[in-house]
Amino acid sequence: MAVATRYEVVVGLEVHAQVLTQSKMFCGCSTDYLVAPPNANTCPVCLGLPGSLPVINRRAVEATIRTALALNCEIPEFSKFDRKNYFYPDLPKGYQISQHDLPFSRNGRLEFDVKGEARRCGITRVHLEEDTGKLQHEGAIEQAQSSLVNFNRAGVPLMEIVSEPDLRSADEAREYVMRLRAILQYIGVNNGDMESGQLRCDANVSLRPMGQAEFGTKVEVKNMNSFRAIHRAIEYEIERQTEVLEAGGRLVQETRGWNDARALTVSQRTKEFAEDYRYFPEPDLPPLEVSREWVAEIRSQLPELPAARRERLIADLGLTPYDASVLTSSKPMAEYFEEMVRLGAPPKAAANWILGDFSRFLNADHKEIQEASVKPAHLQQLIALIDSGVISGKMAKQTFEMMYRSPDPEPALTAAKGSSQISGDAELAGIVDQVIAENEKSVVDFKAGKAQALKFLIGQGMKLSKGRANPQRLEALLREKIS
Amino acid sequence: MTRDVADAAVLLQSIAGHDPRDSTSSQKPVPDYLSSLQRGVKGMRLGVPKEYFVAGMEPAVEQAINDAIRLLEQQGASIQEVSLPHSDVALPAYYIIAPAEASSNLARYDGVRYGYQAEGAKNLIEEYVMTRQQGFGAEVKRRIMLGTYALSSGYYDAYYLQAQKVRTLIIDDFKRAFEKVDALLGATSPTVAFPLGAKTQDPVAMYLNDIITIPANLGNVCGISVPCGLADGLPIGLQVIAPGFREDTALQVAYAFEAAADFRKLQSPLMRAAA
Repeated sequence: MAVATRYEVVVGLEVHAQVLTQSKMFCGCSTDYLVAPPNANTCPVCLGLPGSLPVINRRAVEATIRTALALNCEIPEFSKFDRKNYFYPDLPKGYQISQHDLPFSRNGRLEFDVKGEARRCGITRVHLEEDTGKLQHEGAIEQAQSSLVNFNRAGVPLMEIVSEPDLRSADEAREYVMRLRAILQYIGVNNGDMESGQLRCDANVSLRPMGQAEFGTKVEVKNMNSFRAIHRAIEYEIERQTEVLEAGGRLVQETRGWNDARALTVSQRTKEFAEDYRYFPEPDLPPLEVSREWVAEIRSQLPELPAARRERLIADLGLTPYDASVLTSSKPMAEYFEEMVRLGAPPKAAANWILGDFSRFLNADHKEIQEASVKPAHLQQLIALIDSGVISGKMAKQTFEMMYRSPDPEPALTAAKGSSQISGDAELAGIVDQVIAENEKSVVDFKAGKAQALKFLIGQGMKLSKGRANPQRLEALLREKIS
Repeated sequence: MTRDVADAAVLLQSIAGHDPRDSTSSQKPVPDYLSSLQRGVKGMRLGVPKEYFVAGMEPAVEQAINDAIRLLEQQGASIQEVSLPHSDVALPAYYIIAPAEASSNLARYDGVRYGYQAEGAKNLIEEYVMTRQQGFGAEVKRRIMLGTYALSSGYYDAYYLQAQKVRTLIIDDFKRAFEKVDALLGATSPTVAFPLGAKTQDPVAMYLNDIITIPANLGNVCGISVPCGLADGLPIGLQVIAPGFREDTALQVAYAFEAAADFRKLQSPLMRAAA
């Protein structure tokens, strides 16, 4: 791309993550807003009725501190909540309780890698706030004659994780969010679901001439609901901004929304019309002292994080850095893998299966590995069948697909165990003779030292046996016969 | 609020203490206000802030307060003059902080979920503007405007933050005073009640009437007002201020005064007519 040589890309990300708590941020209402009937999970506090007051959810604060510790942040001893004032029908009180100048944490960092290369991004802060309700328009928003508000989501605890402008490409931005998502899942504070909005991401994108220290005019891009959308939207924005600059134009500081269907960003609000949020300390809540003992206790409960797990998989199990990165990017996937290894599967084979066909099927079905009917024990047994020569790799692939497609993988697995692979030398001899007779040229080539020729002959033998021949035995017999 | 000091003590007894639904309420145990009520003021040190005799105070009010102080002295209290040097900036600080919070507190009256909703709005912004324009009275709108301005970007440091710093100075004034005395005495208001609507056109003059009660609102202290005389048939209030969480002291002083002054003699002719 010609862009990279002339302009440097500068990206910073703001990630909003709903905290997995039973009750809301400032009241006792359930946080279930996806399934509950509209406005079922509301009370005077989260509806902003006159006279109601907020009470802080300790678990949400704990989750925020846990997140901050996992991101190597400092946890100040003193923190407070502030009011962010603006009017919108999904905001019951006319202000959002958030944190302005004294958040729970600052100055962290996130380490991740792009195609096996190590990267690091600064974390400016992690703070806690409350989510808003949700509007439902009657038809398209522009034509809607009326809109409905559902306050079930209002008051759900929401963490905001703000990065430094350290990211230099759409690839880096995507990998950052993938790693961040993995960490949030590992420490059990967020379910990582971007489609339903439980994990949301905004990007600040700007360009500056190579070598220039000052940042260029930044544009905030919103409404990116998947890793793919984050990547595409940032790529688009880089291209758009480059075109403006190349044409001698000037960029305006603005908020733009990503339209996934049209694959472009659309201006939503320019700086002149930016809100003045009139932040001030929330008078209904006392300031918080975060004791060092509490921080130490939360730190002691942190589980192994993706970076440490990745290192362990490389060092102890001999995985490639790439495989280890992808496997640890999702906690369920890493656990699935480790369970297979515990059951006796060779690590490399287990990784290949999970990252190969299995991931391809899961992606196509928009499913997570823990939702699959094939459990670690099933896949481990399948690999054992290959290793012991009972079935061929090709048969294993067919069997796996049958196992995956069925709600119960047992029958397919049992059938594979019983299906006789042709391992007997007597049966294989006929196949070997036919292959040699029909492929004289390859036989000559192999005799002349071409290793590739043998692979071709094995392939022909597999074809003749309709994939049932034991490839190891087949190869041995071919070598024996030819030499 | 109540007919006499004892009733005020009973009322406070039932509403004081921690409320799990109010995070700003104190966790401290609540003392028994009634048991200490009749202990009298003998040996108590009472301070009179010189700044509370403000310019523009009605002579009748000043006279009634001085009489009240003398009566408490006769009951055995020792009286001394004290100084609360930042009293003059309490009012401006209060009229930044209170409207700032009010402007935000009242944002929920937007016509979306409850309360007044204007009819005929063509879009969301219009609905907000019309609802709030029609639904709020003049004084409320004035305070919302004041508060919104004080919190606006570029003005926050000069107004809201500065007012909070002033508040700290006022808190420190009281702390120093309470090193020397147990409670403070002063008028509740520099004048008796003015006719309804008389100062609507001049809000600053109206706000000035709060000049002696405002410091107590900002200073982490508690106060009580008890009738101490009449001027033109209208009641005059004696204010007793005690340190934070020493409502027992404030009630004790007020009760001693009420008993010595014979409260019934101070009843307004208006109240007698009503009774």
